[in-house]
Amino acid sequence: MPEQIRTKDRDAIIQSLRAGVVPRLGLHHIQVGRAKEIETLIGDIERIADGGSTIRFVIGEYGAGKTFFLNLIRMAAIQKGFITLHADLSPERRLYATGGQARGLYTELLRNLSTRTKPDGGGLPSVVERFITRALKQAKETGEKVESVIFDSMDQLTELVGGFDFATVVSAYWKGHNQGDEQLKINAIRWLRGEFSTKTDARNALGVRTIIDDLNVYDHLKLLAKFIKLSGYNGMLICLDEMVNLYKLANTQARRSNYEQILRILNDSLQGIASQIGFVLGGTPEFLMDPRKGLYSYEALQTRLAENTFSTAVGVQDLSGPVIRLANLSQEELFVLLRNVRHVFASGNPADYLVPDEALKQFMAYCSKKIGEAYFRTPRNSIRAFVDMLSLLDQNAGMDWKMLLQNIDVSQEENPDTLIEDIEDTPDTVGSRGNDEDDLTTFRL
Amino acid sequence: MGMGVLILIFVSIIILVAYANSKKAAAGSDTRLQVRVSTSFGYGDDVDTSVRPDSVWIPKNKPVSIHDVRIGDGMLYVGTGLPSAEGQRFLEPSLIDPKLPIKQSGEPNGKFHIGYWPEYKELSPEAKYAYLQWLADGRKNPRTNIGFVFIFFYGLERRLLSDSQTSKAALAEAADIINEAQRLLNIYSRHGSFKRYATKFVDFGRVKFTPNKISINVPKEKNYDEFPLSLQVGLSYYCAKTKPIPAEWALYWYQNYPFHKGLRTAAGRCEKEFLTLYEKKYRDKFGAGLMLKEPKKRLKLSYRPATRSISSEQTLTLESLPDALKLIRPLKQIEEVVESAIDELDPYSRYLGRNPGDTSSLPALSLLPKGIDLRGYGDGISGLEETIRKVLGQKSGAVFRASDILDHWSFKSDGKISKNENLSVINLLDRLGYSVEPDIRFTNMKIVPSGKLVVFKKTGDVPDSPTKEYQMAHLILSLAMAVSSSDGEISGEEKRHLANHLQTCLKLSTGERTRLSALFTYLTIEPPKLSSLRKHLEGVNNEQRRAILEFLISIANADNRVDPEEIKILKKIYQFFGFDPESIYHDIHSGQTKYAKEPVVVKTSQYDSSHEYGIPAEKQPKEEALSLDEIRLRSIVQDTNRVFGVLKDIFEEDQAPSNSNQEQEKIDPDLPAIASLDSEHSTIVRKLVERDIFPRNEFEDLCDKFQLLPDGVIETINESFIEAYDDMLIEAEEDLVINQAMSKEILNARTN
Repeated sequence: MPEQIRTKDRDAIIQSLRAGVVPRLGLHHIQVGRAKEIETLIGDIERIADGGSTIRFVIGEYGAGKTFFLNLIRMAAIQKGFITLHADLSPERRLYATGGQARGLYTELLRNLSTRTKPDGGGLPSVVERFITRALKQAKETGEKVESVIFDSMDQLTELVGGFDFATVVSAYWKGHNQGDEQLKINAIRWLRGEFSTKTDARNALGVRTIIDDLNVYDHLKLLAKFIKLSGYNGMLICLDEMVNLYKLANTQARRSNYEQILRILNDSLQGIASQIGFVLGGTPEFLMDPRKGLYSYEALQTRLAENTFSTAVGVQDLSGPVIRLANLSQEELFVLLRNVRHVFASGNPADYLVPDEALKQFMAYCSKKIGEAYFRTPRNSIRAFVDMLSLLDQNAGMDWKMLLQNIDVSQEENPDTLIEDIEDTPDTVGSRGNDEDDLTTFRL
Repeated sequence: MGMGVLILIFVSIIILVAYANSKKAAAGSDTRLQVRVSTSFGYGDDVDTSVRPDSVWIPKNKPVSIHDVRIGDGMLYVGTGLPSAEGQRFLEPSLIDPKLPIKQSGEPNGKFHIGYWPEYKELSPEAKYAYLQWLADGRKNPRTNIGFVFIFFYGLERRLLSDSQTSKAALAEAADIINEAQRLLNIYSRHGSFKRYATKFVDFGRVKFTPNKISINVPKEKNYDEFPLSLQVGLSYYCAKTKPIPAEWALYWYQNYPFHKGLRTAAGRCEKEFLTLYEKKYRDKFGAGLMLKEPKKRLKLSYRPATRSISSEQTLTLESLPDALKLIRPLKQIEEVVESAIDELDPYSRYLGRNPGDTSSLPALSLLPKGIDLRGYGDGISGLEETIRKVLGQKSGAVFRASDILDHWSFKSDGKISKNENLSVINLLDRLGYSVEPDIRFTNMKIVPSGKLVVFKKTGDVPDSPTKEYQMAHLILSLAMAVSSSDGEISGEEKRHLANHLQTCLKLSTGERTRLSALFTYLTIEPPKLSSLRKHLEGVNNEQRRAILEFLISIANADNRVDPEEIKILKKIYQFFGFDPESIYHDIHSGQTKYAKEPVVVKTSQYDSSHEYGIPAEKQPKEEALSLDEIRLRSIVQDTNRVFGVLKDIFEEDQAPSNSNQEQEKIDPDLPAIASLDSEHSTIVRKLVERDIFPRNEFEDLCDKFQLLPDGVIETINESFIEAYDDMLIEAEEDLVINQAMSKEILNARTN
């Protein structure tokens, strides 16, 4: 019995693929291969659920499907009752900074906070309310005051850096709800998302003395992981994509500080200091290995990340280390991928396939002729063209795919990374550099 | 039109093959071409390849008569034999062959059966007549068959996009043709397909043929799956000129972003406010506007005509313009602005949802965010402002009869006003530049409608929420005012000394000091009732009382001395707490010596201190009149959580359950739990599944009855449903959409 694909998933997949972006829903319907890598990451998720902490570097060439893989893992974590946070690194979003860029990353992560019921992000208020709901219930049962229950249950948080104010803000959210003070609720959420830029503003709005700033971003992520556990979720997974943006930092000190932050996370994870928190970092091979500007330029990281030389020698993947290498797709994998896309178009019903297998082969031959092996190595454009073709066929019953095939527009994918210069910046820059930092990139959500 | 496009692709493939050969060879391949075409369309056309478009084109405003129908406006192909624009062996679809019969029918707007691919030749005689009538009538009858509009539009497309390549006359008509298409668009934009083609045609035509006169309008509506041409050109223009993008453009860019989910309800329900707030925030963030860095890629526009006369996609690469739409980061930046504006408008919008049309009442206005100017929202607000100004004049603060202010709202007062009503007053006065005491956000004290209140001007930093220090100051001050109000033993001066002492030693900010002074004034007039305090105090045991007193002494002693005024008030408190007032000297003394001799406590005692050695802080020079021992102060504040809680309870207003005026929802304990939810959530689920769509307002009311938080309820229910049934029950964007497949399962479970 073929599995039915829900319309919502189907439409999301098709729409995203047409735009050349990774779908947010239903990724498992089109996933091809990579069983071992997925297994490894699922194993990580289970470890996190058991109170552990992990970090993985997902390394692949441009177009190899890092973003897809990251999203897939993220969805898997969500299905297991996790909270996920994800963000692309960029010139305004870094792990370490002094000009607001680390807070910028935090804000982006928190905006993208997803739960099983809010897989597209924007889940923070739901999490806070779920926590308070639990507190309310307890307060009703024991007759205690809601506020004290909130503080008591966050007792273990208040010992951590920033924990007391965190608890105060959550309790302010409750107070806002209780008094019908919408502004207070908005302010509480803003604070939790790291959107306050000055302590004075935060004090006036919420009566707290601290804010989430560049220097305590990682501490707050750890705090959040604990809070999430208290709210009834199984763990927290953080996906950071486009790590190459750190590699591109022109300023050595800025780059180094960011790598130090990665080292801190890595150490915490290896030594089991952090708990219920996992990181998945997506980057290109040069981000990892470039001895001058990559992670390997930082010796402490190199020693921890260098791969098992034996396994590389015999050409097998060692998945026990923190680095996971994604190979580009092969022709055969692309073929399966096309079949999956066709399957999705037919909502999972083979009787409704728009084209026979023969069409897939001819399509591949056509693309190969036009753009060479890029068609399967960086398949974004091939997939887009294929989806376009299926869309036309879908809307026009009785049309012949053979005729369409000759009129398809498929072009070589340009790696946007090669189009952007290094990010000129000094660690002391104050504020966002704002307008001159736009770069070329494809749509990404 | 999709079907047509496909057939065109098919035809064009053949044509391309034909073009690849030489002219003679092309003639030779005609046979093959003809055969293929005639089989796929099933007719052979009387095409005369010698007919040139100019010879059958009727220019603008040149009258022409077909049979007895006189058409005055021109812009038509009338004649015979004109082949399609690309020379295929079929007739131009918009060509009016005057020899073909027409027949008058009773129904000018008739329900003619016109194919998916309309062409004049194929119309029935009745439909031909109706078409000619529509033309004769000035091509403006809004109720005409859209097929007619398309046939005419095909002619415009051909004239502009194809004829203009070979005919100077056609090129000269470009502006007229574009204007004509625009005119049709204004009349027939209700028809989605036509609107899409015509909009794009007009935009494409303007850029290509009249670039000097181009004035791009901001596209007002969301396009389907691509950016409108005008948006592409406009943005690229700003980008190329390194001009800041105006707020309006940025918003439409954001709205036309293909993945855009659509703006949330608030943006539409209070559009005026949304635009104002959005533009303000946009300016605050980007100044004159967002600046785009010019990408290398050039802008390439394309238009695929509706007519099958032109099969190839028309493209135009603008070397002078970059392709700004490839930029994604600016969209994120715009999104932040848009979303924060909508967030802030949500409360007002929800109010309007509950009270449709009530845009300018004071309760409504009190929910408007700070970026919105309240002037122009009717008399209610200006009346209130006038009342305040009359009393306040140049003074920074004044005491009012509460009723003078409250009368502007028409609360159904039964001697009390609710939390919401309190907030309404506080927020609205705040918007006018005033603060109020009592302020429920700071002190849990509600305004007493029959009493007084203090209104004071906002200056500098204005806190909206109390810090812990402020709460302490408030509680101590209240206690002091309560115990010293009963007799005249303590003078106003002495009380003021205490207020000052609290301000200084708790390090209140300027804004908090202003507020505390106002509170002081208020408490002088309306001191807390000792009787009610006494009642609350009954629940406080001796040990807790002792702790509070110790805490008070440590505050009094924060500047390393206890002044006579402070002692006087403390003695009253001792008495009130049931302790011997004379024991205070002993306590002050031991308090002082305690802090002087012991190492300063730098950590709370939750840690096992046996392995840690505290390092005494450097001694502060004691001579200074008001030198605060920072570390001691911090430890006082930190250590007194418990005491603080008890003290707060004493001042808590008598709280009946917050929704006592609402009826509690009944929970039937005998009904089974749903998806392992507790009985409250199960009861809510039972209410929800009765409907397909559950309005947000009603849902919030429902949650209120259970004293639960709406988003928390949705999250909890959905989580349980995914666990139990692998799908969510509630799709919640704004209103709640109930998953019907799920609800059937529930209803079945109920009956079983």
